[in-house]
Amino acid sequence: MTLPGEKQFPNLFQEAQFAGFKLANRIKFGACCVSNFNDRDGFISPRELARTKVISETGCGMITNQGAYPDPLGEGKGYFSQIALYDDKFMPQFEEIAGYIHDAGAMAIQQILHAGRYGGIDIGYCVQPSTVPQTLPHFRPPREMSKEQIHECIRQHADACERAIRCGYDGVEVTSFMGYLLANFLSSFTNKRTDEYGGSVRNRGRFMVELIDEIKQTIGDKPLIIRLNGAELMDKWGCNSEDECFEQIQMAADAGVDMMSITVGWQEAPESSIGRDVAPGHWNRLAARCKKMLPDLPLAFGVRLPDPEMADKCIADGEFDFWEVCRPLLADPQMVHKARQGRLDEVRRCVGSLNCLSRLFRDLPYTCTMNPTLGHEYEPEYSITPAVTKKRVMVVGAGPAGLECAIAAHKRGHEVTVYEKSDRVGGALRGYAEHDLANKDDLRSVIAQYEVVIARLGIEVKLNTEPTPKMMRTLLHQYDVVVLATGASTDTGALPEAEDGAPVVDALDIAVNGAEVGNKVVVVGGNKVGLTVAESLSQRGHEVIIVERGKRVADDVSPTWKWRHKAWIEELGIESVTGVRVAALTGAGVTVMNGDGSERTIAADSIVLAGPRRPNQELYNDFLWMVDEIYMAGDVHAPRDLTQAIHEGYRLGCRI
Amino acid sequence: MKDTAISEGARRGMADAAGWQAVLDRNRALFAPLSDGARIGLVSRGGADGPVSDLDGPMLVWAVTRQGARAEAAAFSGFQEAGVDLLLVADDAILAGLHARLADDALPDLVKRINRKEVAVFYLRARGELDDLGYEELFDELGISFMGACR
Repeated sequence: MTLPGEKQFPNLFQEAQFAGFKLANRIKFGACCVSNFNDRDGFISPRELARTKVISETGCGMITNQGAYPDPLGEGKGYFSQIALYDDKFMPQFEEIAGYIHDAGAMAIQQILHAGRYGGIDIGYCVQPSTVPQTLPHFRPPREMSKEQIHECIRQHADACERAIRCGYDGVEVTSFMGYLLANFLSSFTNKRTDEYGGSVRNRGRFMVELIDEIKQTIGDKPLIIRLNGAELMDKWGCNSEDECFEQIQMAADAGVDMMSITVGWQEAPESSIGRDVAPGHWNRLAARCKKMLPDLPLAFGVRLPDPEMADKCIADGEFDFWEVCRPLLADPQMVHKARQGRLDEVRRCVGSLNCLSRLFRDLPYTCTMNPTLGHEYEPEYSITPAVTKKRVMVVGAGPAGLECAIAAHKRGHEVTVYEKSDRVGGALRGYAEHDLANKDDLRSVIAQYEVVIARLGIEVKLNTEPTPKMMRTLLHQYDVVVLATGASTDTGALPEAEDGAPVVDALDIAVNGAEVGNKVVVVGGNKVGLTVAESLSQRGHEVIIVERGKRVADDVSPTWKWRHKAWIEELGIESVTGVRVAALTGAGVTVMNGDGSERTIAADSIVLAGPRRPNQELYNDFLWMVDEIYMAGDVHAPRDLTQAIHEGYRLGCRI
Repeated sequence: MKDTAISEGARRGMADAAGWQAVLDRNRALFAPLSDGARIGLVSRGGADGPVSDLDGPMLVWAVTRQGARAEAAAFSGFQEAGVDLLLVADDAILAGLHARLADDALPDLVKRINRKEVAVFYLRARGELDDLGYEELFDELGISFMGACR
């Protein structure tokens, strides 16, 4: 029987042949980054096995297992708990993963990842073709590889590939993404050698060609995939041009690789490549260029291409052959199945928050804003299991925390009713979505997905209904559990009382309810809420100044997004006045006190109060003696972010 | 990058130790957390299309001593021999612009350009060593801790 999605996306769900293998579809799970779930000595952990079991069942025709470093010293080790494949002792768990993938009917590929410039995480140095220092302080100082070391490194790669094949993988992959050893040799940025491995574009490609040759000789007729940059995004610093990248792509093809995977950017690149601020489909042109240049070589691509519909069209248009997808499947491991079944509107989209990567560069296991179970697949506490005692659950607040909790609790068999004081679901996320400069559609999709799922599950949502103690007294014994997901608001008590005539407006009123403001706006609070509103108002033509008590703005913003807000503020010409205390809110504007006690008034037509924030916990004490169980989820505990709201709501729903 | 590719304007800018000293004196608090011996270099990459990792030519050094940060003219002949902890690399036009603003305080402009990644920052020591030299606060002020990886 043809499923609706197979008709809707005929190219994506078309069977394919690759290197003698029959693939169920044209979707490749890409090993886009490592998980940091494993043991420090390179062994695959039970946590990782549980994750890869889920990944193997995503429905992809081809699945690439995350990159293993190939050398015993760990010069290639780029992540805190990256897996290794330099010895047979690591093989049993790799075999297990290959088994999972085959059991799911997919082709199994093992990636070998020598991090080069970003490697040596345990040994205090990294190896590179030349000693070009780091531009990000996280990484290790470089040592230049001798020719003997280059030859040894190539041998280690081939040995690791051979081991992968012995583990049962159907093919192997080497990667330059995103600035790893292979890229370091290819790029004029890091390759300053004067021997045969440096200098011209072709000489810089010599390491790659020898690597391909050695691996191909070692693995026989098994396929080798290579991931290469179509653009380094380091042009600003005088590195490889796109033309040079493509010359090297041609070299790889000539050397006999079986599939090309095009990637974009280095970790230290000055430009964005995969964040929410890059429009989906932005990099497709690189795939199209590669396909035009190498029409007969299978091509995989998926950089900032999260949408199956777009991927299907690209395949139809001949831009690439396989949709290479990773982060969207971390966000929703059921995405392919949902697309196939015509349930695309139920897919939880990757919103490009880069929470995953922010954590990797803090040596933490990656997590996903949208998927609270990622990395917790083997923990029963994160599983939706039938509730032993069915309960009647009242959820107060239809923001992400409340809705996550409601959905999980409903799936467990509880009878759930959601109360929402406004006329729509989404909570503060609605405001964030409408004012996000990066990509409004991504965040809107989160709310839209909730609306669809709630409707399909039949969860009752009472809109325009604000529970109060009085109302609760009329509902006594109708609910066994109350979940407060009432969010946070501006802590006006922490600010001076606004004088009569002070043009004060709350940030959430602007963000969620569209309150109007005057031309000249002072935003009090330079954290996430204040920044988002300030940027949006400025973009709409208002003259905006941010006043922040802390030493700097964006303190509560995730590491991978801080730079973005800082850049936006600068691009928009928003002045930020930091390290000051608000002394008065008057009809003339905001009076601030500097560290030395001096005061000045910043004129404003409107004063937007965006911080500090406080949790809306009032109902907790009011309801405490009216219901058997009462819990809180999300910002009502402490103001934080979307990730915490989703994760906390889900976890609570799993254990009520 | 050959030394000869650096413009006269940029050379003059980097040779103007007295002008840069005024900037350092004005921003004394910024350098106060740095230990005696900490050194920051500023070099030119020539034109805006010059590679930032292929350098040669004059270098301006901010050397921290017990008496405070001193601006000194030096020469750059490779990362290995640079003798600095941090190396800032700007093109000639940016250097000339910074030089023109020395009297008004060029530092905010420099910070802005670092954040835009128009000025590249190379770390010539391991992060732990830099922290030991007291760089953490300066990184915060320069906005480097904002810059993130894998964007």
